[in-house]
Amino acid sequence: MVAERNIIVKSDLRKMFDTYYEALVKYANRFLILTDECEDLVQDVFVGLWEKEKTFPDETSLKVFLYKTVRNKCYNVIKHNKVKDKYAENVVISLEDDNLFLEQVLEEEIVRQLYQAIDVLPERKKQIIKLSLKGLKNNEIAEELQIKLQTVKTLKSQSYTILREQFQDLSAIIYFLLN
Amino acid sequence: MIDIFQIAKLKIKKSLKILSVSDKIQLDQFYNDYPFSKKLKIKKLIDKFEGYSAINKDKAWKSIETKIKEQKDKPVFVLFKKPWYKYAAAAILVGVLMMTYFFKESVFQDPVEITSPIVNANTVIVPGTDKATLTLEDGSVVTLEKGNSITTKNANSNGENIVYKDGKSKTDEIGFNYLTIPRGGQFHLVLADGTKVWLNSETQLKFPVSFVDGVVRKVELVYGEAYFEVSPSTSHKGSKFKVLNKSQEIEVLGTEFNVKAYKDEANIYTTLVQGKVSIKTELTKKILKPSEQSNLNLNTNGIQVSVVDVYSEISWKDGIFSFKGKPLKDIMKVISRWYDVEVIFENKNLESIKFKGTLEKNQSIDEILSIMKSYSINNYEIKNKTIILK
Repeated sequence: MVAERNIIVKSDLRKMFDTYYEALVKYANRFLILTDECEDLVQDVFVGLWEKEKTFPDETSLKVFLYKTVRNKCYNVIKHNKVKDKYAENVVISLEDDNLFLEQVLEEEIVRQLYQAIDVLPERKKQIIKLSLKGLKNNEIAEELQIKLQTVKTLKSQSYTILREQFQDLSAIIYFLLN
Repeated sequence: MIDIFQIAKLKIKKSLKILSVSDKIQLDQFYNDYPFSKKLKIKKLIDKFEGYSAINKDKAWKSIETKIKEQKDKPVFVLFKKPWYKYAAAAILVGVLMMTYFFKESVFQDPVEITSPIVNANTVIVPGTDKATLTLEDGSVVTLEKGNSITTKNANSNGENIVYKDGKSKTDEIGFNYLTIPRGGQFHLVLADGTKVWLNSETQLKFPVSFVDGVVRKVELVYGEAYFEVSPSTSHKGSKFKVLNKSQEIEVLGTEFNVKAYKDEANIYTTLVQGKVSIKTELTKKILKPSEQSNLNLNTNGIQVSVVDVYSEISWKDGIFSFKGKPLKDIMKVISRWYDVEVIFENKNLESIKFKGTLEKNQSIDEILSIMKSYSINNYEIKNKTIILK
């Protein structure tokens, strides 16, 4: 019995890559020092996805699979590393900690989603919103970027509107009534 | 693991000040289940953007394509019953449409400016609690509040409600008590006939300490708002139940209804949940059916009856304020009574903005204001016990 399934072509793999690549690389980078090595490892995960004809019911399952696979791969790399130093020992311990895994995925997911949301903004707005998210006040941002306070206010407000659009869902409990 | 993705979304919403009430409840639960998620500060994560930017994605993708080619060109792999990204795109589109509409219809011609609220740190505005003062027959006053158990001649109170004993009176002198609920208070009362009454903030009810079977039961809503669950007439030898007010009289035969007669409002609203009631004024008389609300205009003395959303009228008794398209001016009236604050509309245009939604009565005022701020209020200021909307 064949369930209704969509065949995923390369353009879909590209979408997944676009969505998760950096986050997975930076996640691996927590354990492996060389970014190149991390990139290589994550690329192999996507290639493996293509080969194995795996099926996922939804995006979340895919996401779980990706993070877990990268974690396992990092673990294997370090375990089989010939050089067994203090650093490697600590990394193994941290990789075995399930709670830490969740915490790290949480960080990476927040960074990933915010980064992608902000990435579509023009450069100036990007700079302002980053500083604002870091907790800087309007006047501090103006000083940092050497621009007028009023410009900061205007651009910041426009940027937040765009960001909110992206994260706002329709289930918000109290909302402005369209009438 | 799946929870983590939801937490990530909620944390982001929180940082953008678009956390809804239910989001907040969910997030608090997650904080409990995953203590690390509470400690995590988004501002500490922003520097990680640099690492993301440093990655050359085009190069990485080319490398993946090369690796796939090497592995013979397998045509497909199977994934997803539903192409999720299509839904995501649709959701974003809806969001954009909503926002566009918002700006078209908004009273603000210019983009909403985001500024931080000014909050006077010395002031603590807290949600209301169960409290009331009881005035006895002899004029003595008793304070009822949580943790304060009281017994009078006719009633017992645990500080959260007061229950009158089911003592049948011998017709002659029946004493009256007054229950007065201050701003920032609410209380629950069970009358001697078993009728349950929920009393909202800034309300006063006058009622007899006992009733006589066969004689009309009368209570007076001096002012404020009360919800009645009337013990049926059939249990009291047909005694009707009446809720009096200086401007109208409600006659019932065992039913549930809500009466709102605030001193600072020019209308009295009576909403029938179930059963049957009649509303009588000097000039006219109307009969309500369930889900109907009568609106007595005190200036003209005219009564209008309309069908309303019953839940949003009575949800206050269950600890929730529900608004279905109420103007902000009306919502703020409710809030000012419950939080015992004054609300000033510096920007008069805000008064008529309509909101829809639900607020929990135990929410902090800051939370409510920040939700509203993310929609239409430019900014607000809290000065002592006054909220200024800008």
